[in-house]
Amino acid sequence: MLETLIPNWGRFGDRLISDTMATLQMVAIAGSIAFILGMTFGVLLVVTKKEGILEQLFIYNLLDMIINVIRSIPFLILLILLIPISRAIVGTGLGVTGAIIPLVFGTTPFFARQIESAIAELDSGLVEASLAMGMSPIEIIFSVYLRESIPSITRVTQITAINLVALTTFAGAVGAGGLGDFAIQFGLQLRLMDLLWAAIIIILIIVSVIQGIGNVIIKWSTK
Amino acid sequence: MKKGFGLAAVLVIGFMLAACGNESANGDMTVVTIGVVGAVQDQWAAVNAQLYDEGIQVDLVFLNEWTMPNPALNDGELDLNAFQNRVFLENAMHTNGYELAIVGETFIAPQNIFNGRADIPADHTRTSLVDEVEDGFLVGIPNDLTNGGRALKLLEAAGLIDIDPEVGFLATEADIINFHVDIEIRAVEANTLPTLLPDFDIAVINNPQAMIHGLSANNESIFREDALNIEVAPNLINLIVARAGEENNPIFQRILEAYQTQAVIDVFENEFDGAFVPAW
Repeated sequence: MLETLIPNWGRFGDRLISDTMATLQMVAIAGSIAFILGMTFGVLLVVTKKEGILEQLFIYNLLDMIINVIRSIPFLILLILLIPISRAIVGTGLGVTGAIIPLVFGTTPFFARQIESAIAELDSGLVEASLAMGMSPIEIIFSVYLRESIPSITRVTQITAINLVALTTFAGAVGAGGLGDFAIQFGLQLRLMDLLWAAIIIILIIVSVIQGIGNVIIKWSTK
Repeated sequence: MKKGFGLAAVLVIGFMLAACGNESANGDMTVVTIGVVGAVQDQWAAVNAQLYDEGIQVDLVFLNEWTMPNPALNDGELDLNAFQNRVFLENAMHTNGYELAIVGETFIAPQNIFNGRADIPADHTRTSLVDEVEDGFLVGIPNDLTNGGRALKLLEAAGLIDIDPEVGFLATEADIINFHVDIEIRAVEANTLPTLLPDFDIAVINNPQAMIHGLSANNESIFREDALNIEVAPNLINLIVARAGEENNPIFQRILEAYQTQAVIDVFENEFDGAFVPAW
């Protein structure tokens, strides 16, 4: 069955499986770290900005600048510039392990910005009312900012996660493998179109699952 | 970063020249645009110096991907390209239907194996690495088809693996039929290999990339491709390529003649530390 659909399965099937695992690992590990860091920095941007609930312009401007700088560096360049940092933190610049730090750097600033704009969509009256009720900043962050923006946070998480799946394609440059790299190496370079389409279909499934889970969360939280 | 901007500027200027160039007369100079890949192109200055009095000028168009110069030449956006060997050219013509032809041969850049974490004494005249390489070694190779296939052939020549004899220089890891030493092979982008070298035990690196990163092909190589070997050489010699039917254009042939001179050999020896070997 598999052999008829993918004639080159016998020769490259093992690689397709291990590259699927590599993509899933990169998305899961880098995605989880970037989710926590991006959420933290996004909230920090919201609360420290001018007229924020914990206004700290120095922190806001610093964060704002760092995010702009990292977002300005094309990912392929970031990937190579971060090799020494990766080696210092996780012990190697190579493979899935070596790709995690660059992927986190490539995803976190984008996600922080998205979180910032997701929270900005909230009705400002809501925050004023909470302040009037005597809620502490921590309470406002968790029970107003984050709780009330669950649907929009979910939406930007979907966008960022799918963006991350695309970024993993570049990680082939440091030997991390992954489906995008598989499609380039065996699909495009060897012109084995069955492998190209197999990789694209698996990527499509991953993207659809991310989109589907997000849609369920949005539906549930807006009930 | 400065280098990056410089390269970008060269690219932009190159494209502008390509757009208005196309073997056009620039004043009384005949301008020929040549697509090249990579920053190591000093030999062309020696070519231009010889052709100046004859009114021929070679303009380089720097492209940043090996996949770009052949379609650009095929579609008439370049007059020539000079970046590939016969294996790459034949594969590109076969898979994409380009109608291209060889003007002439230039040089060979033999691949070398270098130490990463391993500490194998430098000796590029070795005929085998079986006794030096240990089980479990992590071995880096380039991840593009031609350089990667060539690197696997080099590992085969070093006695570490056997490759299915039918696949030639376009081998992939799936074509390894036997491991003589239990190594793990990992493919990464050719330009990134020298930066990642400390994470490998040993790695196969192309000469231009090794040179840019300060690895000496003469003094640090632990195993060298026998590039001028009669069976290997015809596949790996770099070429100047034109559109089919134009390969005998007298101006192109004159450029080839100016390339195949002592002036260019001097550049290879003095500036490239023997990384390029003349092969005409």
